[in-house]
Amino acid sequence: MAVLATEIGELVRAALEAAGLTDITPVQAAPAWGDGIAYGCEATLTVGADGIRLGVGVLENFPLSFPRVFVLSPEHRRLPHVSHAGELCVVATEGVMHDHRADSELFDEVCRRARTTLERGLLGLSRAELYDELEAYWPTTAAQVIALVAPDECPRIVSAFFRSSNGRGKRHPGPQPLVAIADSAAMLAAAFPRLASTSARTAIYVPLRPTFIDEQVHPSELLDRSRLLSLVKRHSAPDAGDLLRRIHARRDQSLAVLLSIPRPAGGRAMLGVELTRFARTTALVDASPSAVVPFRANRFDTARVQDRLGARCGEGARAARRKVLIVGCGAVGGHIASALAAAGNDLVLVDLDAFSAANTFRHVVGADGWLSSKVSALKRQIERQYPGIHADSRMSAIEDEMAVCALDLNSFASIVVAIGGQTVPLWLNDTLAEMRVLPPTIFTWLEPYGLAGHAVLVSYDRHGACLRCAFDAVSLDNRLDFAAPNQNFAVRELGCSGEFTPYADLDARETATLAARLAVEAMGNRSLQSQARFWRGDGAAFVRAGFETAARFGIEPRLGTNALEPNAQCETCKERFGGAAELSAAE
Amino acid sequence: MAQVQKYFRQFDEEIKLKRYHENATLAEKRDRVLKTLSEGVKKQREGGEDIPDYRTFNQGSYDVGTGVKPLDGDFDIDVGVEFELGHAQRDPVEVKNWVLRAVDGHTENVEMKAPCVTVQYVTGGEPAYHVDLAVYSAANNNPDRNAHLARGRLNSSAANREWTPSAPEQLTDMINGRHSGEDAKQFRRTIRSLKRWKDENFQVQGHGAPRGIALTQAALRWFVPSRGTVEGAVKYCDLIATRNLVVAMLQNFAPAPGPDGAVGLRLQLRCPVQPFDDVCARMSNEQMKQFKDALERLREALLAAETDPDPHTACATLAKQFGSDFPVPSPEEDAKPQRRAVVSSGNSG
Repeated sequence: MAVLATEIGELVRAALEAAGLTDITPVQAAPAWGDGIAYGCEATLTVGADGIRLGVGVLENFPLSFPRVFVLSPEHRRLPHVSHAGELCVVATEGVMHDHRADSELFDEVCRRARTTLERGLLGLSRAELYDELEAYWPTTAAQVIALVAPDECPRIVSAFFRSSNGRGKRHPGPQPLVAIADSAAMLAAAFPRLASTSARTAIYVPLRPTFIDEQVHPSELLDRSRLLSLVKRHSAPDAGDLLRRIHARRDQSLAVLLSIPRPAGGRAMLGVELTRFARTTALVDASPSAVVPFRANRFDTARVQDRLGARCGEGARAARRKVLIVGCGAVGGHIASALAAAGNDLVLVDLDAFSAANTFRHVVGADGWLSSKVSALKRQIERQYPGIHADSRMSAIEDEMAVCALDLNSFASIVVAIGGQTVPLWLNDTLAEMRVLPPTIFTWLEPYGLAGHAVLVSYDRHGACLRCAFDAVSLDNRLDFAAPNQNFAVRELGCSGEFTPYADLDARETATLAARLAVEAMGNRSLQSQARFWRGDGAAFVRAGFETAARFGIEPRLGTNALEPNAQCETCKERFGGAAELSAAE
Repeated sequence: MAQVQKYFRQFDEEIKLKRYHENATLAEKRDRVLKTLSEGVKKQREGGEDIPDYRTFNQGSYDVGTGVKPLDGDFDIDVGVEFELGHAQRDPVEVKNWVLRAVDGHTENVEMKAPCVTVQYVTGGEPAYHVDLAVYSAANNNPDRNAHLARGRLNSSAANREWTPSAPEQLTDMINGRHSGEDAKQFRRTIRSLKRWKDENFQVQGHGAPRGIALTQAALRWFVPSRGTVEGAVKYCDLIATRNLVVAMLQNFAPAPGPDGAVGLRLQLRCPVQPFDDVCARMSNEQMKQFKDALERLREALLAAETDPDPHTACATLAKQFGSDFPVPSPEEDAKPQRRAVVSSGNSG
């Protein structure tokens, strides 16, 4: 270990010398300036004409981790990307890789990036980044407090929740620790049932105005007890003044304050402070806390939990809120519903079936579906998993829903039909074609024994093929299938009532992914042409079970997209376009 | 990071005015002008003009080794002519006129400009080089113990004829003494590269361009040598030195009134010696903005070149800023790829 330490120490020092840093100190073990740093040196980096004193060191697991850089000169610790503890964020861990063999080059790269980061800070080029990342500058050592407060511009009283017992039923010794802050106790209990028994007190939510950023107030100034309230008064919305006058700071109690600050990139950052030991009981506006204790808001508000919505390939920025109709909520439809909810879509779920125990291992809700209908179990799971997403459940057959005009079909961004069997999908195809509904419609199904899965896009408001075009007008054979026609795959285990088609959960997931992605693309690109996508397996289990594949099985690749060809014999399209000849012309 | 230091050095060799070699021709021209000056002054004295003793000295980039070859081919020699007289004793234009009369006829183009008397040499109808003779009253003759520069033209009104305190030799000493050894060489290389960048990126005429002396004074104030030590050998990095100087200049743009009194973001570079004036004072706010924008583009180019592992593309980026004298190696030449320590990766899990 001693040899290793010497080697690493020499490496650090030599690398800093090579990178042009000056006034380099001897290597220190566990230097005071860097929490977790095993070995490091202090050195000066010239940026512009400023000599910036840095601590550069490595963690124990170097070179698997990057060298770390800490800003030591106090006048530079307020630059963007310098954390409360002084650490300079030079290399994001997400989206980069490094070669552990290139250890000396790593220092060169880190020093180069440190120079660029500090340079941008000195030139004021990263000021917006400071305010976009405010929460990251809040002391990392501060307590994490669950925050369920809507990040809006409305100053208000909220509730702070404190742990009253030590977990073994005994009263917590000393001041009760703050564990959560929420708009209401009900909201907290719904999201975190374990915290329902914590004791609640008044707290306040104070949104600050953009003047906070315009005047370049550094977040650390909010930790100065003599400045905090004056900054809040100066930069909060006018109606916050009334709140500050109404709330009383009590001598014997702390007061939790959740500050929110608009981010230049949009949304709001939240910073928490607990004001303690007031000199006297008085209105907060006149109060003087003896201490300001920061806490980090561990946010679970809708804005935060939906933060990464839309970060999907091909979809670009966060999509506008959309509603999708899912017809059929079995194995495939269930996974589609889950995927589209995770993509930020509200859902209307239509399915008549109750959830049976045998569905457990190939349905997205698993055992949560027991003794429920598929739609209600799915709605429950989706709304719990994806806060802010609404799922409307209709335990009904689609034909019944449509018979009573219960669905405004054109209000949906897309319709996904995931019904096993082809009778109802064909009927639905013909009905939707007649109605010329606007939303792009996806029909999806899978074939047994892992043979294949399909997703077909049809746009009824435009010229183009429909689902019936895929069927032979006489034989009703589906030309898209990889199984040869006229075979029955149903398996009976419990008599007629226990019939099912054999496929695995992975087959359902793969088919659902195919369909969900097609739905997302079609919603984002209304000019997408009618098409048929598929995946196919190796067919081994299918053949072993004694079934025959269709001719196209040996021709198509494992994954593909084909144009959905219009069929001159398609009765539905003849009715839509007034004859096969016109259909051809239209195409 | 591409290894571009050798190209910075090649660039410097290409652009610099060598003090002892290339400038020998110019020095000869200077000496011939000074001989003419001496003879002309002598003739005027013989004609009854009461002209006190004077001495001459070198000043400007010629003397401090920060000169670059001009793009328009008009080389520049700056010489100070200091008379043993107090500035209150004579009208500045009268004193400058002694010099003008002395050198008049030395070439076809001798002219009194506001700060100096210019003797222009022409080759093939194009300006080839000129000698600027700046006229001073010597410090020891003035109550404030400062040398004073004579300003004004022959036809200037009384208001535009003035003696302004000036310390050209002090400034020269300051520049020459600011750094030593290899650091001083990098200091001069950096100034020269910025001067060439200025010539490449701004119109030469008028106040649209920052003056060369402004860039020199910026370097005097903010230049920090950039060098690293690799296995005991010191290696200089002109790219970082230049970038740091550019960054320092950008950092110092601050709200200040321009020549028309309107406040704008300006770089104020006060001369560190008499007359302590802002050498950028004549630039308008709009010209200042263009200067700042150009510096920002230069910083970005230096940053891009630093992060570029390929010397060919890195130097091509630099050549867009510094001009075609900046060497761009062929893609094959010097194409040893630099080992990259950190790369972006789209992988996630």
